[in-house]
Amino acid sequence: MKVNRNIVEIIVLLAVYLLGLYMWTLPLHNNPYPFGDVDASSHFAIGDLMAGQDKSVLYVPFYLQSRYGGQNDFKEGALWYAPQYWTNTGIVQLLGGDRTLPVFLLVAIFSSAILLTSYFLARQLFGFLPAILSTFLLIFSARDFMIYLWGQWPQSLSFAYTPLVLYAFYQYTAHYLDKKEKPIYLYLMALFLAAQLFFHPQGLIASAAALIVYTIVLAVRHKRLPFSLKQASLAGLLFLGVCILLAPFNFGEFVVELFFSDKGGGAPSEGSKFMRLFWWYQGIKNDPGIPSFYFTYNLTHGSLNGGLLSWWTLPLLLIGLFVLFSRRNEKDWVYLSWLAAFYFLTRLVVFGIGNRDIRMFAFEAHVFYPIIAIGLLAIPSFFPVGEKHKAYLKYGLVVLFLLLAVFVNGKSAWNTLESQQQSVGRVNPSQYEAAVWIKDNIPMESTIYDFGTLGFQNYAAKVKWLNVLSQHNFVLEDRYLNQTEYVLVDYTDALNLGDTSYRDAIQQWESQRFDPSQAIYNKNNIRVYRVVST
Amino acid sequence: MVVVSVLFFTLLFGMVGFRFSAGVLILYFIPFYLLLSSAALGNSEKIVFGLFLSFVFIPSIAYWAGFVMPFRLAIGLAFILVLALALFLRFRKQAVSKEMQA
Repeated sequence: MKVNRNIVEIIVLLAVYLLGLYMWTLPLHNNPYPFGDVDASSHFAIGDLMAGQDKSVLYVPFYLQSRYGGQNDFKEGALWYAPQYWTNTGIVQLLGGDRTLPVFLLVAIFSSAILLTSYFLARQLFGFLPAILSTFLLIFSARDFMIYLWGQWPQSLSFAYTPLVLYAFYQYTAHYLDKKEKPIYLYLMALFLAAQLFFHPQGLIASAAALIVYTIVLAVRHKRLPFSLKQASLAGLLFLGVCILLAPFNFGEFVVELFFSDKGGGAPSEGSKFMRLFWWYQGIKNDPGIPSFYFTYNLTHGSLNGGLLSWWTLPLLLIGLFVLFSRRNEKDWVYLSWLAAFYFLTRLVVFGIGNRDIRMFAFEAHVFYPIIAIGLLAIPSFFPVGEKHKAYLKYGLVVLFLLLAVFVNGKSAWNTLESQQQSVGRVNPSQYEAAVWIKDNIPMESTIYDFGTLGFQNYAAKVKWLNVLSQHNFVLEDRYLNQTEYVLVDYTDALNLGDTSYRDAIQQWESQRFDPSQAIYNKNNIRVYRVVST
Repeated sequence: MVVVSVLFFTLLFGMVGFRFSAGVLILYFIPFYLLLSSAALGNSEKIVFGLFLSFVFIPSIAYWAGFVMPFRLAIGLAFILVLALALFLRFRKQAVSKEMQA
């Protein structure tokens, strides 16, 4: 019986993708409550508000003013990002019929969207095997799942569009240079670039940089522009039209920040300036926002536990680069251009441009992993043996690749994602219930003072979650206590940690100020008091 | 494939998973796949491009319409508008094709 190759490929891709989704949704298995550090709660907040009030949102709601009010330099008070990502989260709340779980399922899909787009680009350029192997490895990419856990969600989706941009441009230029014009690819590319701007401008910048390099390469190879100026102008107008029509205030904000703002930039100290060009991770350590493992090859692209085996992909990466540089056909230049863009964008600070170069490391795995797969599959060609033996060697290497991917990278990824299921850093059911009670029972403009929630002293992520889940303004410093109307005393994290000194400190603070019998909410070790502000 | 995906979410996340996956497939996949079916693209291109265009344009329509009508209705409007455009282009392409054959 003849097997339809396409169907086999689709089945394998589906299996790999669903495995990826299974892993990335590990934090949600048996726990539908919110997780996510940094800005995660704010990316939940706007869609939640839209779904809850059954109306779109134009301005930053009052309970987020202290964090995001004034960030839009173009239209005062407007949302600080384009609304499309958040609108999607609001939509799925309604589709799924639940406030939190559908949102996080969508976030998992969006954050892992690179699995689909990377496969698509690599499949079209290099075939099934490199594509599926690199996609399989990407499931375990610490670069990507850590950003997902940290809550930089829109950025992940934005970077996922870059393979589509590159593919569309590759197809357009290939047809154009072959005198069989297909401008539809250029117009689709313009739409994908607009999408990147909406979700996060960093993705747009990454794509633009890769496109510039690729265009220069093609122009040098063919000694002419690889595109029609008329068609490019139309694509440019399409991009501008879509941006202005669908996200006018955020497009305006992007333009203002790019051309008129002084927010970024500044050269680093003279001593380190040029050395950064020669070190891949530039000796970055102890960055205030990102842990040091993020700037270590074997921990990020192998296993967070380190060890010799965690370096296993590096030789394959080097072989892959050698292969691409040796061949240098136009398909190879797509990835080489993307790699060149990555190199320059992660070193912009050397040239005194911007201060987002560290954030640009986010798409490193997207470029590396297909090259790693190419390197693996090129190994048999180095051996002077017959085709039959080369085939055995190839499939043997594929099996070895899969084993290492699973037992080194996969094991590390699984442990990290699974550990989030019951992490004390997540909102627990008691906190969620209290937040919902506050939302439904306390006047909207009231201010809440939180004492006891993990990280309350530093306005940590959990307090931000309570802020958006309750849709109320939270304050955290003692100096604001006399300006609040309500106080929330939260023992749950201290009890879940089994930390008696933490619990005792909360108890002492509460007993000096409040009588528990006067609490207006008293459930599951959380109490809310009404106070009279002075 | 569709059935397997919906089953996957249902088994893991129950009724919420079922509603989520079925809703996403209906709202985000069907209209734009049909819209691109009139275009001179390969089938895999139509699937992938359609999905990633829908992530932008479905919420865009719903968002702006959500200022003049309930958000829930606006979502429905987004679905209907894209589907209507897709069917219009499809019928137009068939009509043009018939004219050329005649």
